[in-house]
Amino acid sequence: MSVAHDVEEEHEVHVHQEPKEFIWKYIFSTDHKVIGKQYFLLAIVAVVIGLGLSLAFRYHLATYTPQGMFLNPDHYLQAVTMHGTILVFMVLTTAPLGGFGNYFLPIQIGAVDMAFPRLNMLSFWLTLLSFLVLIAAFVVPGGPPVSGWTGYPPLSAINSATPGMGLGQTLWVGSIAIFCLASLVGAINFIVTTLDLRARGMSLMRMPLSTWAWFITAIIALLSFAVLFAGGLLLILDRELGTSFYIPAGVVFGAKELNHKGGSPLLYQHLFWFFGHPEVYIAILPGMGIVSHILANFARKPIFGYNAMVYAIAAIGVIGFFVWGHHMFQSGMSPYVAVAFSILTMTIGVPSAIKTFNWLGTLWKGNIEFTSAMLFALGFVSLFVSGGISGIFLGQNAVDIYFHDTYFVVAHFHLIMGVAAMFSIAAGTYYWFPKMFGRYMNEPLGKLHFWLTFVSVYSVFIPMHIMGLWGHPRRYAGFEYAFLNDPMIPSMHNMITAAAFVAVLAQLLFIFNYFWSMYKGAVAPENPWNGTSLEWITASPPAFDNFGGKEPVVNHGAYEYSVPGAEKDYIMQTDPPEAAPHAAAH
Amino acid sequence: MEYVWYFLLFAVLAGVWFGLIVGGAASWCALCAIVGRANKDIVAFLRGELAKPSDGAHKDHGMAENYVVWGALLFFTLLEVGLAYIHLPLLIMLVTLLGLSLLKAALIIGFFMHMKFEKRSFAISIIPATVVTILLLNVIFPDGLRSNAFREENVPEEHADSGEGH
Amino acid sequence: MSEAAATADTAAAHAPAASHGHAPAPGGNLWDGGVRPLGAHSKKFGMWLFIVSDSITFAALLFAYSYVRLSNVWPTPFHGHSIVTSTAMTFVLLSSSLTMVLAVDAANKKLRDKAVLWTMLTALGGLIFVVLHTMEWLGIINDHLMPLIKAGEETKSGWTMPMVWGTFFAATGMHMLHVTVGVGYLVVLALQYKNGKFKAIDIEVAGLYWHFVDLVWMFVFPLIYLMSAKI
Ligand SMILES: [Cu+2]
Repeated sequence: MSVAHDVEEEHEVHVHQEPKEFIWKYIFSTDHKVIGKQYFLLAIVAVVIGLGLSLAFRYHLATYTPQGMFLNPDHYLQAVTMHGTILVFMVLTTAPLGGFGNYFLPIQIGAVDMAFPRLNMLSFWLTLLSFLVLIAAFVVPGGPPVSGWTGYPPLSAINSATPGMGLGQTLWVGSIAIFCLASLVGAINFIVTTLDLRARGMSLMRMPLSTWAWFITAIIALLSFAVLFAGGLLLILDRELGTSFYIPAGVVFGAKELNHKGGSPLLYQHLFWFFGHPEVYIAILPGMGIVSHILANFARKPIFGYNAMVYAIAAIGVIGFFVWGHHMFQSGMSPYVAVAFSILTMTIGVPSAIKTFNWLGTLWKGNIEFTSAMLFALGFVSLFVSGGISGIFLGQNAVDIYFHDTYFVVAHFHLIMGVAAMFSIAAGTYYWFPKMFGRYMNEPLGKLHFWLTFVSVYSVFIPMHIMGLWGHPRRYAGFEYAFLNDPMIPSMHNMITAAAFVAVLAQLLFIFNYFWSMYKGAVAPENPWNGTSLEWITASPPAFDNFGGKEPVVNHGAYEYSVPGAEKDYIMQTDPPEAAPHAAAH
Repeated sequence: MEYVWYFLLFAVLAGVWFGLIVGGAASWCALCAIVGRANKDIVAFLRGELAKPSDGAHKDHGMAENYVVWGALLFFTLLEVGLAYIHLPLLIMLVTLLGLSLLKAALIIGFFMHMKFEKRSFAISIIPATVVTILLLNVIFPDGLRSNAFREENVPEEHADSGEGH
Repeated sequence: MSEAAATADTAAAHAPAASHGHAPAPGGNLWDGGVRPLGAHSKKFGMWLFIVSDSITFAALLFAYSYVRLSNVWPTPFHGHSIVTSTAMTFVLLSSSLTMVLAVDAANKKLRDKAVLWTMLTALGGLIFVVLHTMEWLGIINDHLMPLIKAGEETKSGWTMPMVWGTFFAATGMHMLHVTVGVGYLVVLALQYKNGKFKAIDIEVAGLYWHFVDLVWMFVFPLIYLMSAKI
């Protein structure tokens, strides 16, 4: 009996027609391609605000003297807080996963849309709401919070601490809670889509590495945002209902001892970093996937060690949950636990190194084409290595206790999480732009963008490592630099600020290129880069149902470039099985 | 030289901790396998072969067992409440209550939520990851205990005013 | 029905809702694409993933409760009356789970009216739970919090919520939020299902959510109430 009923249930095909009115087609769309672009647009708006803030406080640091400051200390901390929050949540989490993932995951697996198109729309609108709530903190009385993107209590739990810790902090927590819901909905959608909607022949081990990365990232998001949600909820209770989860006894504000007692700030740190470390991988794993995809394409070689790459992505996803304590070494955490975390943190270097060596192996003796996309992918590998190496130092608790509150950590996580992820976003944009808009982005401008960015970000963050070694503390709006006993410090600040201005202005070039090319770029064919995966069999831009009513059947792995004996130097996934006479069966 | 020993000791500790968590997940999987007469399906799942859904999904298993499960849940609840009336040491109470709750959870998941009758690959895709993630949170407890040890009344006399002893 | 035919039917039943509904080639691999490898409707899988995430949220709340409980001297404020009420609430919730099972069963047998009836009864059970729980909340606020608030006003020192009540309201409040949302979900679903808008699978998915809410209470009740009971 239940077989019969299943058949009836399962054959409900949600045939949705392409809507005609503007509002349903571009605003309240359930089409994964439109939603992907919406996410991307949101990320562009957010990145402009976030980088603008960074310029403000960089200018402040370069011109700082105790007598005259560009920002007062409160404003400095507010700018840093909003810079971190906006970039981590609204850019690094939305663009690679919500933007590219939404647009290309269904296409790369040969699906018509996401598994739950309406939930997909909900996910975007919740993200937008979260963004607006966060931005609202700028205009409320008191302004944004000063507690950093991590929002540590007891500071963040006490309404009256500073002006920004009133309504501003409340909006911040609310925004994060909404963002958790949005990510949860999105993650469910990604996981179900990847497992259930693959086209015939698209076995798991034939999926492009970008799809693998989005899939694993979605699993990480599903499991980690849940904990942040709980942590944020308790923070709201502490702030609004007078509970004391995070506030210990004896906290004094304005010469008055608070009544709270019995809580522990460490509890928040545990709940936050349980999410916070996996969040690093939510930001960087899609980048790794995108870069693997692009490197193979422009090196015209199969990705070196496809299986190892897949296992490495999965291993990073798993181990990423076992290491969060390395953010708390100097917080008074139990030293036994700290050593366990230290050792586990270093194990994560193994899958990361596997990935790096495989990227190099892919490039080895490849027939490399230096397009803008490829340059940014190579830049990603470079940044991943130079940012990752210092992670090995910081993973050791003895070393971290010295480094943790210096610029060294700032430089480390900006290189690996911020800039590397930005490079992967840029690489993905140059690579997929012809598919998304049917036009190429301007290549010379793209190359200029790359070199300006590449040189300037290194000029920003390498000096910061050195200043960190000298003990330059983070989170200070300013202090007598003479205190550090090194005459180089002020001039290094100047240089970093100058480089930061170049880096940010170069992004304006990118944004200009993006919008200009949408209308004026050279028209692109279906498969401009001679790629192999399914997105390159669709029209540019793809039809509403992606494959124009055709149903792709997959016969090949994702990276069959330069197969001996084949006619072309690439075999598309949908080519007939006999297209690769000598290729190993994949 | 003693640092080498410290390092080894801590490495072992880390290994034990990691092992406990992974072992917990593994034993859950093993439990699934034993309870669910489904070794065949698990092997097939791991090999990625076409696995037949377990027979239960297509048998019209009656409502009767759901009434039994409901009765059992009520019974276990009464048992738990009964425990509150006899005064047990807190730790024993905690372990018993959690044990009974896990049993109830298993009944709800298995029968009411139908997990027992889904394909094993479905259960394996969902349950171990959840269990591991939840067990991981155990790592916060050493810090909870430490802040208890720092409470004024729990600090031994000789340390009370000398601060850090070393 | 022969073995082979049964397999073929099964495979067809688990094909995705997209335009292609083929079975894998005979002896083919379930994970090769074109079929749902987990053999469950996508909606069901999606709801399970939500439950995974939500259970971790609840776990984190209960772990936070255990954490602060470990680091504090803990009072035992629940006496006979509270325990009896909460036991009754537990029974109501468990029984509403049973009616939900009956609703799913009826929906699967295409007994639409019966399914609507059982779903509504389930929602009623949830409603009773919410009402009982709210009454208890009000009692606690009156007995335990109002004196503190008043004292705080008199001494002008403000007031804070004692840890035991903070954890109580956090855990039960989050659970009650889920019950309330669930009641709304079930009522809307039942009404729409009656009008023929939803399918049996939707009832089943709602059932998963409802059982999960029940499941969470199986941990909240002993940990929050029974562990702090003094009778
Ligand atoms: Cu980390």
